[in-house]
Amino acid sequence: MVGTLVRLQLKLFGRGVRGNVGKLIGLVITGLWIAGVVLALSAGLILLRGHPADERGGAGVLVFSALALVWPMLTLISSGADQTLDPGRFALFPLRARDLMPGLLVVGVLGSGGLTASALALAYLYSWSSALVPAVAALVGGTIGVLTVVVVSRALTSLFAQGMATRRYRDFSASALAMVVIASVVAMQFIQKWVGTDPSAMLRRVAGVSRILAWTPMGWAWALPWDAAEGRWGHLVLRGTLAVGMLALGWRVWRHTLDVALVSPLESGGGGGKVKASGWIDRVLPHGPVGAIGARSLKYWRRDPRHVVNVLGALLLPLLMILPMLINPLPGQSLREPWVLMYPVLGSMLMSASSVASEITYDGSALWTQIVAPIRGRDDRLGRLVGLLAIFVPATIFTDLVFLALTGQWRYTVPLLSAGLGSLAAATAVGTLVGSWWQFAVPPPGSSPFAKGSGGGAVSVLSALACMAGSIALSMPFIAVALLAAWQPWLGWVALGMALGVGPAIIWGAAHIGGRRLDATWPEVLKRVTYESS
Amino acid sequence: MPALQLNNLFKNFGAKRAVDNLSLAVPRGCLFGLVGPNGAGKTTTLSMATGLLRPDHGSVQVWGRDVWADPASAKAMMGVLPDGLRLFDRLSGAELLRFVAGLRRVPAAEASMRADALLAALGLADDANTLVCDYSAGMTKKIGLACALIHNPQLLVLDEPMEAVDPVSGQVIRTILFDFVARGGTVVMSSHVMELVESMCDAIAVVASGRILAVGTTEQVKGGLPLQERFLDLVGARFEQGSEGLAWLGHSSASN
Repeated sequence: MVGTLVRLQLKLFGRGVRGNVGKLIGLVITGLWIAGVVLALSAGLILLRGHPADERGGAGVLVFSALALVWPMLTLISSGADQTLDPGRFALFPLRARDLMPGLLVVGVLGSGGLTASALALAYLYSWSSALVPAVAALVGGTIGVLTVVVVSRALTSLFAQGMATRRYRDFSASALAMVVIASVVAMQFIQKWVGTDPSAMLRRVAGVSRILAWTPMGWAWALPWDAAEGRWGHLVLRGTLAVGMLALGWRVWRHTLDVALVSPLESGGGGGKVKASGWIDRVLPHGPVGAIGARSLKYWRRDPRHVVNVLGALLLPLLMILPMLINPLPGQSLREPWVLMYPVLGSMLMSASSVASEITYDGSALWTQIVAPIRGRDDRLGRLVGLLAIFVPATIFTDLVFLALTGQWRYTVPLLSAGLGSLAAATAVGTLVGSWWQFAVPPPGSSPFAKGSGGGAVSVLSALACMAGSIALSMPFIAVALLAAWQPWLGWVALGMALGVGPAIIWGAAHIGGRRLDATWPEVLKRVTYESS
Repeated sequence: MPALQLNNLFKNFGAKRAVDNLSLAVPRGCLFGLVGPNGAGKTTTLSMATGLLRPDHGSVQVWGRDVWADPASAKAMMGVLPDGLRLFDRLSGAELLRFVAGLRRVPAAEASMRADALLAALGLADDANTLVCDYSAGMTKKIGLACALIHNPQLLVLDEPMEAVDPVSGQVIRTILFDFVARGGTVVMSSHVMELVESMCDAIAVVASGRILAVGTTEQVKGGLPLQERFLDLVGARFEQGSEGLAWLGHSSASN
């Protein structure tokens, strides 16, 4: 059974990657990133070999506590990441939990999380290898620790398997994942501020925190060599017992949930999301093709998790970019400099161009509804722009105002708003054109957020590059005039005139040109945006 | 003038010829069935007829208007329900109908009246404000049919309209289609369920390997046999040859 499950997992994984360039590239990038983090952390642990037990134990307990906390959480959020060996799929076979568990455990250890934990555990073992007893304690503790993390995350997956099959959960997990990524960026800045730059002070602080962590379930197993090295034999026995108990408990829970999952096959759907009968969107927009497409697009920006993530990104990206400066300003760095105001302009420009370009690809095969109707491509382009601009114009003004407030440079209000709105117009026009020529398939709403990147491949990369280059080029005049306003304030009003006069004109032109392209190629577009799930 | 005319359609997918010189004329005011085994080219043919797939060669006319040369006026006369394509399922049933009515330029007041009537007739009134992604397969089929009907088309092209539909809803759909035809509308529907096509359709075309094997009124095509038998004759299927190796099935044994 172990061999069958491992072979199945490897075979399905191989099939998923083979012949899928986009997925392969994504995998290599993620792999390299994880490998980089693992290498850095392992190197740190290995270099600590000659240091006092306090520092070795402190660093180790902190690293593994973080891993034990983050990994099961990621597994839960990314439930869709790897549903190949989802317990519910075995519901039709005459199997009991105990037949499957060894195999699933091995698969778990061989997965990215398991390999990460094992590699780090080996480095930790090496850091204790200068004396025999702590080394044995590290070996035993590491084995228990790695197994516990695998077992606990598996138990959580089967515990929530039923809930995770619902659309609401999948929708939520996509947004939750984006939140976790954003939160971790913020957290990194604060951690950096807290640990400071002096290494020895840092290690002392870490050891202090780790003494507490060592008494939590996340730290029990990893504190064993530390106890052994400092001769706290009572603590060692107590923590060792607790760690083994924890593993046993995790195993029992996993077995129970797996047994339950095996008699309750996954059913997707359910939930029954209700919406209000007649929304304001339908009342505000005109009846007709443009209004219908605009209203549909606006509703999707709220209800489709993929769009929600994009809106969050557009709003937060510029703020995230200056976050390091806010929390950990380098000496001599100040937010009160004019160039900081370029962040919101570039941020909203880059986000909006690719959002506009990929709008049509998010429709997937549902696009047929528009193709069988007698509408013109222009109606499609304009309708989508109504929806997009209703979000991005207020968002751009909002971020611009936030930046003016943060930096206290209200004297640049007019130039900044002109540059922001002008480059938004340029980016929208470029996105409209790019989206008319290049489409690619993305996973439909409700599929796993990790399925992203499996569609599209080269075209999506090309489209993003074209959006970036095109919108930078087309924004230049707007930004240049706005920049000159720093010396000649009246030019700020010229820039505003350009943004409000020339901006809509180029959008209109792009919608016409892009619309004609769509009219000529509707069936081909439908084929390209249709997502073939493997 | 036929309601739908297909002239010498060809479509290749790589080396596979999906539709092979297919011509067909569907007379007006008739409920026309397209039957064939899986992979016969039914969906490919209907996709080319509705503007969703570009033929390699050949032309399609709806009441004389060419779908590929004059798409706007041809598409305005058609209501379409494809099979296997998604809907804009983050809209509720009522919102989806409103969206399609907007695309089809149905006046707002008329659209809301028709949407209510369609939702009531198809038994979806209680779920009008439920998101379509939370509908069952049968309900999704029904809301798709409502979308095809909301602009009161003259020709309905339905790919597998009865699939996953429960018997009660099936009867409702039949009644709607019969009434539609009785008032002068034309329906082209595909199916691989022979009994269904036999009992519903006035005329039939049997398709296999992208070609038409027989076409005519239902009685002509059947030629005195049940449609199922006639169909197997036409397609040349011989089940007996394949089943000998399965003789062990159903005998209880210890080897489980």
